[in-house]
Amino acid sequence: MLVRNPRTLIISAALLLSASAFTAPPAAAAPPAKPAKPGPGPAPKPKLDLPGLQKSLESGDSAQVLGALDTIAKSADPAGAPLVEALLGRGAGVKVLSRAIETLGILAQASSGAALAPYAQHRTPDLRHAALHALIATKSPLAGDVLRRALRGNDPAQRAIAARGLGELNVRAAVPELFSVLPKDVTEAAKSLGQLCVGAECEKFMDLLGRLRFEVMESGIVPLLLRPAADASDELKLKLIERLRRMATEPANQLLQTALAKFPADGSPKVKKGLERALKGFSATEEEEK
Amino acid sequence: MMRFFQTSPLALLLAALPLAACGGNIVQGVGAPFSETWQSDQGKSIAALEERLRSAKAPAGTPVAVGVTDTALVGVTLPSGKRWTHSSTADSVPVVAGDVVVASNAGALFALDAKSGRQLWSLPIENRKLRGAGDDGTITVAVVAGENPGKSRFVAVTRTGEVLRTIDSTVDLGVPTAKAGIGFIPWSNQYVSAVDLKSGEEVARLLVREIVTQARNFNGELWFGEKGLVRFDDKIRLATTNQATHVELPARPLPGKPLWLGSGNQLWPISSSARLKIRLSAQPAVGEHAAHFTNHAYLASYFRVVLGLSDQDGALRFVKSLSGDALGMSAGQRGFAVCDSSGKVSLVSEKGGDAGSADLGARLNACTVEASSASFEEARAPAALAEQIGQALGELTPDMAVAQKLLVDELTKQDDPLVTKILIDLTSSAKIPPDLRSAARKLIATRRTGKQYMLAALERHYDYVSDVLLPPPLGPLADALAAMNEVSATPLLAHHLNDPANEMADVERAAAALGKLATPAEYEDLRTFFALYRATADEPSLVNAVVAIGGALLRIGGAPGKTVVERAAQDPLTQADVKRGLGALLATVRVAPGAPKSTNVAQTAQRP
Repeated sequence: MLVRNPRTLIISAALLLSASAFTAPPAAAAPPAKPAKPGPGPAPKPKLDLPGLQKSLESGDSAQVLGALDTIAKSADPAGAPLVEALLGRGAGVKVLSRAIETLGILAQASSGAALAPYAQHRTPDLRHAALHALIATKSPLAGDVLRRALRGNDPAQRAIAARGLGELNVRAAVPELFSVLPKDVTEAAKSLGQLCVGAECEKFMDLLGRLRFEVMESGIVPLLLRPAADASDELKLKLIERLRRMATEPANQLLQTALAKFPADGSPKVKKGLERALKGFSATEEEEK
Repeated sequence: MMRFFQTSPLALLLAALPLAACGGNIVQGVGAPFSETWQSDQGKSIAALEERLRSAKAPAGTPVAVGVTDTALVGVTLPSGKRWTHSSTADSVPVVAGDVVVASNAGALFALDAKSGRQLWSLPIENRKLRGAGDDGTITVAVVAGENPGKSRFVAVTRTGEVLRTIDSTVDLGVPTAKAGIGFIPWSNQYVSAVDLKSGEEVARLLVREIVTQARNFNGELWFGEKGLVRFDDKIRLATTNQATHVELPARPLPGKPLWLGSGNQLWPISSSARLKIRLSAQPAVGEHAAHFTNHAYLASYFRVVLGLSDQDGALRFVKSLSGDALGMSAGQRGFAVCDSSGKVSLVSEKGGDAGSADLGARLNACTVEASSASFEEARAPAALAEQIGQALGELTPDMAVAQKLLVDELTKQDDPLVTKILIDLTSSAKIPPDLRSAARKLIATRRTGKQYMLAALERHYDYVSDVLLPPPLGPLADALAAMNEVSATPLLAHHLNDPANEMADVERAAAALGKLATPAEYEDLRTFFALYRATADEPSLVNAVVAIGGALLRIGGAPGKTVVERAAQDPLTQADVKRGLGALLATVRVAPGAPKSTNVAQTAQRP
């Protein structure tokens, strides 16, 4: 089918992947997904009875469907993901959908992004939020665009999840949007900006300190101080440390302590020294002292 | 000085006797002004006076705007003269009388040269304030009054400040005017006494069969009345029988119920009250056949918006948005002048076009404009009326709902496709009160022109990042586009189906429209919506939407679409009402293949 509106691409992709919702078995609709990362535990996973699970998931009986989803979730076996994706493609009641989305989050398969994406726009907020969380967990290539769109939505909780997720998934393209929502009570954008900003962007972020409430900014400060020098220069970090020192408030002091405690072993000695000096009440840069 | 006692002629006589010895300003006998023993002379005395004065010309007012600030009066001659300042403010709205500006402040009445602001004279008036004034070219007449009724004083003053006449009255005197040494003073809501300013004698009296509290000079012609005016011409003797030359503005509802001249028995104190900002302005004139108004139009102000209305039927001719609240207006021979609280004087052509402006250079508390003799040339033609209304609607604040409603009503009378855009903009503005937004939504659903604006609106979605905090009026747009059979809207409507920022009722209407209009190109959007909600529909409108989309899938989806709907109709997880609706749809398809029933879009057109 021709899709004329480019904004529908994500949803269309999702549906195309599960286009067989009522016409073909899910196993045929999508190849078994490869795990995006090694399994969490050393114990060998139980082999799933895929035909049996498929039958249960298509039974139309909520109890059976929920049971099958539990089995798949507990197994953490990526082989179960296509079955759950097909369930999402067909649709179901809220309880079943909620469990299915959660299960895909547990399985954390990048291939599940297409099935999850439409649910990030579901009218039921809980399903929307669950889908966003699951998408972040899958690290699907679709997740960045879905999160960026979610950041534009009218649901504050959804925007918070999206802002956080954009940082976690390292979606650099979202930096301008994060700057846009930061002053508009999306405090989670601060942390992501602290994780994502580069060069002038970090300067811009730092300049907001003092203009926006400290509580809005604080979650981005430690991540910024811990960034590699290639992304944020020592000079900028020392300026930031000095500004925090001059604020002479307990919360600012605590941030300096946290940054020092988490400071990476291979981090810049200059910045580390700056943190130490600031915590002792001295200027972060020796030059300034002179 | 004469003191007039309204209740008894005997009392009047008793009061007059001891005062008669006090000096030249005294009026007595049958010719005394404001006598209640006067017998109607069937218009003879006023007709004789009119004939005597016919060849004399009362001076037209100097075109000027005079603003009142906290500390000063500022003036500028129109259309673009030099600005002047007088270092005293006013306690009531100043009056332009001929080439003089008359004002009162702190117990003094004073006159300024209208062109330069130079003070001509000042005289004490105790605790009174200016009520109204006129001028015959050499003598200025004024009525001043206290806050309490019944303490009116009439004064006549020469250019040099010599007080020719002072008459205190216990009846309220209205706004006076003057011509050729005769002062015309309305009183008792019924009479106009013509008083010889030198002798003090009442030389004629006019009896009018409607309320008369105003004697006005419009471009050198005298008119008497309040709501309607009679002209001081060769038919004035017929005023008692309602056959004089008469003008009156057409009655029509307007926001704030503005008055034209208002009662001449009232003061116009400087205040922030709405009274100064909700007014009408018009200038009577006489044509070959009958009296009318210059420009064949009049102005109605409502805070920052001024309406130009037809003098025939009150129809809206133009709308002007101002940079501040309208404080003073005047109709010219051609065009209008409007002074607003920002200090700007906007000159408007007779058709509502831009004719330049003047600047008083300060924020104003009050303003008076005189332009009755002026003609303003149009420098820029006005935009389409629909566009003017749209701009004005944008200027109004949420508490001006009455004016907004009037403008929206006017808007819907226009055929211009631009109306559609303006209505859409109204629904998208946070400044617009909910009632009006709702009204605009209803009107959008009835539009059948402006397709391009409808499609452009549907391109927009709620967007927190870009501060688009209201989604477009999806439901009304869907209704209108469906009624117009506008298939080009279908991808946009389909995309809105899956945007949770849209109201559910709007989604239902979009689904209904898609039930009628959708093409195979929208299949995926429709199928997504169907899958997401066939089992989670938790309210009737969502159920209706899912069923409508089910119908669309049957119509455009071919075999896969039919399979999707059939399986959903059988799936125990499908919401019960949806299931019933789908079952009914499938039954219809079986009976009449290729003609699935979809929700009737017209049924939703009445909803907001």
